[in-house]
Amino acid sequence: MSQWIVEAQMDMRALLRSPSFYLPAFAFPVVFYFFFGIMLDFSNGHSDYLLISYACFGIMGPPFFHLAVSLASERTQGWLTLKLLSPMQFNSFIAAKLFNSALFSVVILLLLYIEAAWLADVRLWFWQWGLLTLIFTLGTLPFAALGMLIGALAPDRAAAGVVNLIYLPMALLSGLWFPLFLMPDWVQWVAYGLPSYHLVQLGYGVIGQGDEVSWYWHITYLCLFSVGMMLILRGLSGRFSGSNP
Amino acid sequence: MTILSITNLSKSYANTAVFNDFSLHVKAGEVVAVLGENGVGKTTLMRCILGLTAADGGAIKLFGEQQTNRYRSAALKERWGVVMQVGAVNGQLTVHEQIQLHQSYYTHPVSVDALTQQVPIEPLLHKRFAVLSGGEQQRVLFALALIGQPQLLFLDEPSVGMDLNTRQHMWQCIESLKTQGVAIILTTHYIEEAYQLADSVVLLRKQAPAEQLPIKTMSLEQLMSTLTGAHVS
Repeated sequence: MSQWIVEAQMDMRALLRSPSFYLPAFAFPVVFYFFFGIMLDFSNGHSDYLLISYACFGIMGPPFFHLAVSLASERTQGWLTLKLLSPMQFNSFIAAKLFNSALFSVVILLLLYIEAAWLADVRLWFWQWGLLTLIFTLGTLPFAALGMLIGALAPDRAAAGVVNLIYLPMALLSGLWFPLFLMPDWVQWVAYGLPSYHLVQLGYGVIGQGDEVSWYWHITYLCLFSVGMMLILRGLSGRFSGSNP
Repeated sequence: MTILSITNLSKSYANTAVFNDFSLHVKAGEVVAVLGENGVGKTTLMRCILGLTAADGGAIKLFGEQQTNRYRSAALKERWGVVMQVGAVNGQLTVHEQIQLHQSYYTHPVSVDALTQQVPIEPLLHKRFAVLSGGEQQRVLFALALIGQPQLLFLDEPSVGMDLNTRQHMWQCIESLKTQGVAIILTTHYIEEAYQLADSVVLLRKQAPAEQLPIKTMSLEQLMSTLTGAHVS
């Protein structure tokens, strides 16, 4: 069996034995959407708009937390050093983690879709559900890259805290919880620099509620952000094996 | 056949030399024990050979291949096994799952059955690594190092935390590997372990050149007095 598949299987088993990882990852977006998108419905019937917001918020969690926390643990506790001293292919190791993060994100999307269709009567065309799933699944990559960067730099016990310090403000400043037009101008400028803003705009675009910027620019930004993170990570590659000069 | 050849290796941290002009040659089927006080550079030496730490100077040859930087090829890693001093694996996985995972890294891994015959880990197979005692974990890490059928084995204080029976079983396993032609570099604080297993002892000392002693011609008492005289704990 291919190395990355075994790696992904074992990584998934370890994740499924860690309810502290998957319970909040599944529960937060579903519960937030229930309260703010369905129960309170501040947006006056715009449950489809908030579905996109909370879908974006939900899919950011697994790549952030999984890559950051598991890499930080594997790095600082010496698990990764042992693996890197074996003939393990580092690319397979990372591919397995990316795959599992994306898989968790797809499950979160499905839970939100069911919730939205069942409880909020959100009706979209089949192609819209499909395109949203594609965008948000591929959209895990920039957050996974940022998660890896945190995993390369943060000590294992601090990694989850660091992720929260970035994840929650990023969601807020990208307009995932409150529409950006309700916030000060400077917040809107900050939002343009955040990958979550560009990803959610692609999602809004699918339901015809995106901003006036072309989808092409949002995708370009997300790709550049991911490549930039990867280049920084490449410079830090020695940190993964616990190597020092 | 020379498996490992180190010539004039030097390494220092913050202008303090850890070792200088250190040389060592290890042949197939030879066990070399590296002894010395804490902080004298035993683990640093291993890390330099493994490519985890860059040496300041000197040459390292592994299986006849000159290692010019910290990069170690996958082909080379297929041929060695490593037990690190502070080693661990994901505690959420069972020992059997860890073995499956590590088997996937190697071209010709040993089977679980063969591995459990070499190292007594059968009762541990379905337990999670996190719930094992320190000695059991060390046993599992030793077994994982053997999965690729290594020709060179690095054991950095492998018997720490092991009870007497387990330690003696590991010694038998090392003896057996030795007869199969596996070269072994062993760091340890247990003089009797080094005496029992090693063909020669490398004594690392602070502010003094390393010394290689052919212990097979020495008695345990002679070895202990030599080491004690050199302030080895």
